[in-house]
Amino acid sequence: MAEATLVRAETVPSPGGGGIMRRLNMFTGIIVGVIVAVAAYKIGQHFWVENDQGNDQAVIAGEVGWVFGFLIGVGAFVAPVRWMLGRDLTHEDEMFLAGKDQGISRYFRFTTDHKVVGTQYLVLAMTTFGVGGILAMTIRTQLIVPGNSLLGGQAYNAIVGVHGIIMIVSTIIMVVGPWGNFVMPLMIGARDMAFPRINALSFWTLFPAIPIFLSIAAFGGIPTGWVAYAPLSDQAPPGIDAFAVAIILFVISAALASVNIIVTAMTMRARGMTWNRTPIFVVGIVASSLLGLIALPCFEVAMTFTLLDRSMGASFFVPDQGGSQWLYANLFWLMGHPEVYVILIPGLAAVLEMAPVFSRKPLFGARLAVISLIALVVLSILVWAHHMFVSGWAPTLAGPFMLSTELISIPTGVFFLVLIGTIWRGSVWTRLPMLFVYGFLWNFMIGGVTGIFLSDVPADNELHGALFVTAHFHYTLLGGAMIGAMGALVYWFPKMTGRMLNERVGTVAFWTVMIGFNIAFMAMFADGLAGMPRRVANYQPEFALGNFITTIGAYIIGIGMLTFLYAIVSSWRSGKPAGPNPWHAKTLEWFVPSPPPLENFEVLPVVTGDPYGYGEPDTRHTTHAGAPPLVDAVLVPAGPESTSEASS
Amino acid sequence: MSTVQHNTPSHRLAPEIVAHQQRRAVLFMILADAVFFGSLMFAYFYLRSLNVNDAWLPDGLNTASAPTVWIITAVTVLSALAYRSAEMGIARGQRSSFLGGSLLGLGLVIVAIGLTIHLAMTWPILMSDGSYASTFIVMTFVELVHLVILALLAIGIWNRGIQGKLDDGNYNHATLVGYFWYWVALTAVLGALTTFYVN
Amino acid sequence: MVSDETDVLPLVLPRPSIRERLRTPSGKLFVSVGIVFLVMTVVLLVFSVWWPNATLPATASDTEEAVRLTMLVFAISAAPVMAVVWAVGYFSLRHWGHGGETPPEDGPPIRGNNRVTVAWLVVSSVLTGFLLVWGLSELTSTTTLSTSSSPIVIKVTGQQWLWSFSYPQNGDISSPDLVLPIDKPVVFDVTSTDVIHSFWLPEMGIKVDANPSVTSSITTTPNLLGTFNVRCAELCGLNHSYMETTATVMTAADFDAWVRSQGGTPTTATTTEAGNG
Ligand code: HEA
Ligand code: HEA
Ligand code: CUA
Ligand SMILES: [Cu+2]
Repeated sequence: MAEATLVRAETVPSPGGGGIMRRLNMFTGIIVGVIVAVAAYKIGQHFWVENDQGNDQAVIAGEVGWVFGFLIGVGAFVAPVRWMLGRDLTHEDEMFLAGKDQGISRYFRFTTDHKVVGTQYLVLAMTTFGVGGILAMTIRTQLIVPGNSLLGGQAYNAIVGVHGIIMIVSTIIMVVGPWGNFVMPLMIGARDMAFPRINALSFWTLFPAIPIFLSIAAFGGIPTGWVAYAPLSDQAPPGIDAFAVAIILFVISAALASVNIIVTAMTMRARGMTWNRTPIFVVGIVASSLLGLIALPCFEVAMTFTLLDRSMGASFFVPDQGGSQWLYANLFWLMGHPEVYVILIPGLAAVLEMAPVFSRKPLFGARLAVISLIALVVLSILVWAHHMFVSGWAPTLAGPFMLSTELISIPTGVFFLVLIGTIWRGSVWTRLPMLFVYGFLWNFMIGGVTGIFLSDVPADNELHGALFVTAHFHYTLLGGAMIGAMGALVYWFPKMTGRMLNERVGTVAFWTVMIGFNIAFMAMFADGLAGMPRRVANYQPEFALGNFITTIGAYIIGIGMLTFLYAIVSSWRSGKPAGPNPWHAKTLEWFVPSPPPLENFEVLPVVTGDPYGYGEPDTRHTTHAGAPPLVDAVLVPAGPESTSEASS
Repeated sequence: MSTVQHNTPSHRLAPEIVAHQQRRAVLFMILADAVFFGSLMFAYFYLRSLNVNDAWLPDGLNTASAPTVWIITAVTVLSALAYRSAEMGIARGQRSSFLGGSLLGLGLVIVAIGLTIHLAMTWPILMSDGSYASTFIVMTFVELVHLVILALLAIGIWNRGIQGKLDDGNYNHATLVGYFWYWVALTAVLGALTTFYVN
Repeated sequence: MVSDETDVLPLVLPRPSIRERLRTPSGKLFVSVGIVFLVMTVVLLVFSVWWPNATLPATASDTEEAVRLTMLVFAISAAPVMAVVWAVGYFSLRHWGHGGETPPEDGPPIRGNNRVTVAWLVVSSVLTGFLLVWGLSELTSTTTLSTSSSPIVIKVTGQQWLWSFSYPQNGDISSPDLVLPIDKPVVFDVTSTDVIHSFWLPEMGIKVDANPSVTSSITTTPNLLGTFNVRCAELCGLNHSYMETTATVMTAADFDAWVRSQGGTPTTATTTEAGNG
């Protein structure tokens, strides 16, 4: 009690500065952002004239103004400026930033606690998934019968593109957010991320990108799909400017988050946690972040060029002025392919993490799995041109790229071996997260094998630009990565919220999504094989049956997703309390209370083995309090990596 | 002390570890920037090799002044060397040599910024003059952004030096600024190499 | 470990026969999983043969025939791999599954198995190698002209949102829809006047992007009479959905007649006869 008052007393603004910082939050950010945006837009309108589609320069100025205004208003620049001035944040400032004793309001500020940031990311991602999902339902409603006039061509194209990019962005938000930010530090036994302020910064640079994404609709939409191919993007309405600004911002945010995640995992693992003893999920998150860090800047360059082409008359992609559409395609896919693996790897790694827990068996071939992850990262940088087989660019390279693409199936196949090896003769505990492991096995196998079809150049000559591709990547993205991620959400939900996810409702949701998904996208394969192109608002009657089935399947997915959402929201509010370790798992996050307290670990854990010693009475992962004692519980005080101002 | 103090992680990690983390982080950010810059170089050389519609460098178009580019590059490299000497100074505990060296470096960076702006004001090309002009202008602009960020960092580190926040036992921030400084110098050299491959 | 075992088992037991080994508990296990595996393989094989036949339109060129064959070969090679994974998955759920609030007893601590791992790696590498070699040889055969006779060259131009075709060898006549003689190799030189389109003949298995300021070529030999689709396979703006027309494959004589009716000079019938004769 006395301590509590002491703590609360500390949050009162100290007279010596930092006063402004304490008053900044999301709402001041929005206010300043809007003011600056409007001013910048007006200035833009003053200096540049409108063309027939709109005023690109003014739109860009407005969007950029919004970003800077928001960042100023939310307090993102406080720390850098104070660094320059040499007036570093005091200890009280840092505790304030960590959100100590601020209740719900800490979710609306520049808060540095990794669990707050992880939760912010999670809620943001669920919102954007919802938007993407509603757009998907709109797409399917338009395509339910041929000749439907619900949407015009322009609106349809815009909706498809925004659906694609919003979904892709949301899945990456899931990677850096709940996984990289909430779960990963707990799993390695850290008290926070390496750079808590960069952490907050990465979230608050992403946040203003979302309104910009949505403003695409207000500025005429994008006619280009999520790939934003030039030169089509050069003749598009200013919606594409909003798209480009949002992407650039997103890339900056993701880079900040990735650096933080990588450095945290490299330097802050608990004592004794060698790479061999690190949970596979952590390895996966690092691999995924590293891949994103390397790949995403190419997208940033492509978008910068697009903006300059459109607003400054530059000629990167304008053939008449010496530009080339292939420059765009190369830059885009140099990002685009690695990025699909950025999305896949966390879902995959989560599945690998859950399989041992629910099979009550060690991970089969753990070392091989890590090697394959590394192989995946390396190979996926070398395959981008398989998206350009029919583009006419470098036909002589078709063979080499076919080689590199098909090679990926060897490391990817290894994960299937690891999974069935882990399940083999296990005592499979059929709780909800395990169902998602099975769902992954089913869906991703189909997605992967159809990918091999596409990697064959002559087959791709037939299938490119057809719905077969769309079905392939929904099987990998939704069926593989998303199903894995949803399983992970169920698995770590108790840790995040302290409550169990309602398993009955969750199971219904799982089966609804799985069945709807397989109905929808199997039928889409059929349409694609029969020759229906992608991104068409209308189609010939011969595809009517397939599309009708797909739409019905999609509605079933929608119902399933809503059920899942209901399970999450209702369990978050009033689920059964979980206790620290509901799954009887061995990784470190399960040895702290659920939800974990501000600094996670009262006493830093020490790791003595890998976390998969199921059925091996002589091994254990940690000597942390709460871990089942092997001989007797040893509490290890803060180790050498944590010298202590506190204890001195 | 209070539990709060006890619980703050950033105050409990050893300074060597924090320093190590910060160096890693800066290097990774430079890696991302390297991909960004590499993509620009790729765009330059790719468009040059394609020369679509002979519009890489349309006939009669002048190019940016190569000597100016190299002067800017030389100034940037010199600034990095000056900062290098400053860094070696602080490592030996000589604060004054750090302050002198970093101030000189800062001055040179500001000169480089001025020269870059001068280059941009006087070059005979517009964004819309073909793909050479576009890529070259963008690369120059990115270099300018690099230099401006560098100037801000230099002011900050110099100011911190004045305030006595750096000494021979604790100069990690100076090292971090150094990483970025050398990287900017390297990009300047790489960018300037394009003047050999105009046509 | 080795010395431990020799302590317990001083005798080297004779290796039991297959039949006996199949009767041990783990032998029975392999048999049951094997049965599930075989059933699934057969289902998948039937599916991969039946599905294309039941749902796909006719093949109208040699290229499309090659593509269909490739897809069949790929499906057949993938079927056992898919079946292995799914059989183990299904079997584990059916036979080793436990519900409940607390986890079941831990399973056997198997951390790896070199023989299985090596076998898996070898099989997937061999399979990949096979698919690659197959693909490369097919790539060469579909991109080189299939007969010795000189091909018809057709210029294809995409623009928002129509196709146009011109026949430089037949007096540069042009047409908004595609007309082709049967059994005669065609080379399409594809380009665009505005954004990227993609010239696609779904029933003939060929596609190439129509890029502004670039000409890309692709070749095939139509081998079925009839009217087929020409579609645009790259999003090109507002009316991308409607950027389609027809490709009519006719006999050489009909083709010549058509060329004549368009005011061009027919050349096909004679060369085809020469080629055939
Ligand atoms: C998570 C996302 C994800 C994943 C994991 C993959 C995985 C793969 N993808 Fe996919 N792909 C996309 C997302 C993804 N893809 C997207 C979004 C697009 C379209 C973008 C757009 O145009 O909008 C696309 C498009 C795309 C194309 C271009 C199609 C076109 O537009 O013309 C190609 C072509 O090669 C391809 C191939 C592959 C291959 C070979 C794999 C492989 O990695 C799969 C490997 C896995 C297996 C093969 C299964 C397991 C392996 C075994 C059990 C071993 C033994 C098996 C064999 C040897 C067969 N993909
Ligand atoms: C991670 C990526 C991801 C995910 C999860 C999805 C999910 C879905 N996608 Fe998407 N899709 C893409 C990535 C993704 N898609 C991409 C990259 C493209 C290419 C774009 C382009 O060509 O440019 C594309 C294109 C695309 C098309 C092709 C359009 C065309 O080419 O003409 C279609 C058509 O059916 C489609 C359908 C669906 C459906 C029905 C779902 C469903 O599974 C969605 C189900 C999910 C939800 C419903 C959300 C969760 C629900 C809630 C949070 C509650 C609120 C929901 C409701 C009110 C229903 N998608
Ligand atoms: Cu032309 Cu789509
Ligand atoms: Cu790819």
